[in-house]
Amino acid sequence: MDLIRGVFAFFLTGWVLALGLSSGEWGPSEWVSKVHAQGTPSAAVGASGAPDKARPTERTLRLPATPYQYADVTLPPHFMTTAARRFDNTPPDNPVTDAGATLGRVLFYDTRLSANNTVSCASCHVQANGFADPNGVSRGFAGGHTDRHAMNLVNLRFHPRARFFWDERAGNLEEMTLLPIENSLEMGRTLDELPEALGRDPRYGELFRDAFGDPRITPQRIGRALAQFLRSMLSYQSRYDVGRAAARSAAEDFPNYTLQENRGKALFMRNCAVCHLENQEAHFVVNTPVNTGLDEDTRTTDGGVGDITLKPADMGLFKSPSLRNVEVTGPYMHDGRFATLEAVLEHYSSGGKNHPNRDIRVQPLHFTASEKAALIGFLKTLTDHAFLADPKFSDPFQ
Amino acid sequence: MRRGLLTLLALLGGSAPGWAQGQVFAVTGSPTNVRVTVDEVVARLMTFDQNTDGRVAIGELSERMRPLVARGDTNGDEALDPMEIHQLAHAPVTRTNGVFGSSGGYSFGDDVGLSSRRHIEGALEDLRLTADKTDRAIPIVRSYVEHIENTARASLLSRMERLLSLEQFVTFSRLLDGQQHQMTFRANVPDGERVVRVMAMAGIGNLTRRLEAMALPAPHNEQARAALEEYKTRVRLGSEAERSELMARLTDVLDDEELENYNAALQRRPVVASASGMAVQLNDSIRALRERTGAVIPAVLIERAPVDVISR
Repeated sequence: MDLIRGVFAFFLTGWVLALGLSSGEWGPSEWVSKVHAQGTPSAAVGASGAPDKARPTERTLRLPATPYQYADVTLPPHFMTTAARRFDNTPPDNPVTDAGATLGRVLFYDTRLSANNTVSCASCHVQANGFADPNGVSRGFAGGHTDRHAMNLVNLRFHPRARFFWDERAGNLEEMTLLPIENSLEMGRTLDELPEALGRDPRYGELFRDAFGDPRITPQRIGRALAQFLRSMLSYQSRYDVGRAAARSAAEDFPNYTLQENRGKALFMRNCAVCHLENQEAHFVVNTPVNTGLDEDTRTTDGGVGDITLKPADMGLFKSPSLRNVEVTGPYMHDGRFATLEAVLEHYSSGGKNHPNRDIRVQPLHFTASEKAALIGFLKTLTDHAFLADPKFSDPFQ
Repeated sequence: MRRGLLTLLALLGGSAPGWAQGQVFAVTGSPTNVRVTVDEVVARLMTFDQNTDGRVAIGELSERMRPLVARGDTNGDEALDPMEIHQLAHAPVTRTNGVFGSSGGYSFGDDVGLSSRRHIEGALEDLRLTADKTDRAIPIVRSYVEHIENTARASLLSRMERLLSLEQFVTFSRLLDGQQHQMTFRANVPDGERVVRVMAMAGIGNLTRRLEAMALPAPHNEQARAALEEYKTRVRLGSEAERSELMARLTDVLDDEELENYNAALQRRPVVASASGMAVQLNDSIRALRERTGAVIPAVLIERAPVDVISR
């Protein structure tokens, strides 16, 4: 009982701290930034079909006088085991700092990173949706649709291979953050013009100086700051985390779960953990890309990792996002083909389609209706409401 | 009683570490031989050839795929022809894998000789029955496992006796009997020192290889392999009739929903993963086990649990 009390005290303390920070958020330093409101990329397409510069709308950047704590976060014990810590992909030359992640947060929400000032990273990565896109496929700065779903940005720090995007084409987070900015469909900027565009705003000089020691703006520093912010986005306060801290192992029944949730957890551990919770009990990531039998055709369907490497064994393999907050990160899969968790479970229950590279672990599981309900009940315990509403990850522009 | 046990099957002689709950780690990589071919990769890339000029120009590729041209364009025409794609598909890829390597391979538990006991009893555990129901169901399930293992073994040996010489049969029987051994010892694991129980397994793969080494005449070889396949199936789940009998016996204990869920769980085929790093820590113990039993031991099953449970 003492252990359970201790765990609840731990999380309660976390809440109190968060509330305390919120109450003191608005400091004396305010900055009026001419930034177009988000969410209307198609409106910026001119009659010729070419993107126009949108008429800027004034938005005020509000940052706390004392930066939020991004670097010094106390994670629960199951994140701190040797095995779990080995998943950490933080490079020695770009650790998370409060100032670096603060700059990353501002950049993440700044629409000036797009060619016509209409979209930011947050246009497709929405906090309330676990930083995934609630739409099936995402829309770029000129209104065009991408061909893939914007995946969640939860606990990216703990992706052990440190490769990102559905096809793992980015070799680290620093590289990943710059690619959408340059993509002609997504944000349409050239990296060379970005320092000048951002440098027109004097506040950026301050933020870069705080983060890197001098006010110089470079594409590399933009990537590093964004990567710091992404690595700081840690979800660890779900009901699963509370339960895990109160139990001796993830396999044991959790005292804060219902009978159905514990049944769902047991089913997950027996049938799903071999992919989604391998080698540790914290991260809910799949360590390597997998072909899950989404498509049978090898010629015309998205080749995923194989389209990047051209290795036959990589064709149709995709990276999997963390299952943390999976309740709110739909639609699911690389193309957002499944609208609901029920549809995802139905796919795995059937074993998927017969692609030659389908992973051996993807086999018919024939879940019953009651088992599906239990599994979904368990998956919903991975929702971290504190993370989804944490002001330090929210839009700093008002 | 076993609830909360963490299970691993570690492969001898590999490198990747592994330590997780509810999963087992085994010997082989992916058993599937069907894979996408290089020709299929070429065919896929050529679907991007919109102007059908027999090559894929950089502008015909999606933006994320354009670096392929820089990698594979050997004649400087800023396009890829089928030969260049073919060469790319064969070329080694230089990629950083980050700070932590990939997982090992995976296989079906029955393919590596893993007893179905854990699967069959574990599926019952997953139902989260009341204590009373569990107490009544467990003996039924355990006797079922023993029955199918014994009958499968007897049937296999009976068929093999007719196909093998006396010397071969003795060797085969010893290998089959020595398939699983257990021992308990203390080991250092990534999150601290734990007492673990090790189950060493010879594995079906080993039996198959031993049969191949015997170089039986063709008809005998085919019959022996068929007998081994049937053994694998029977020892995994029993025959249909045996399963029906099990479900009938459980009818008095489980309600309809529980029966449906248990029946569904039984049909699933446990997958095991290789995680050979653990074996490095276990080598001394494995060596001792090997010396004691004389068995060939390509893999170990480790059940991890808090000391007070496993020590009982």
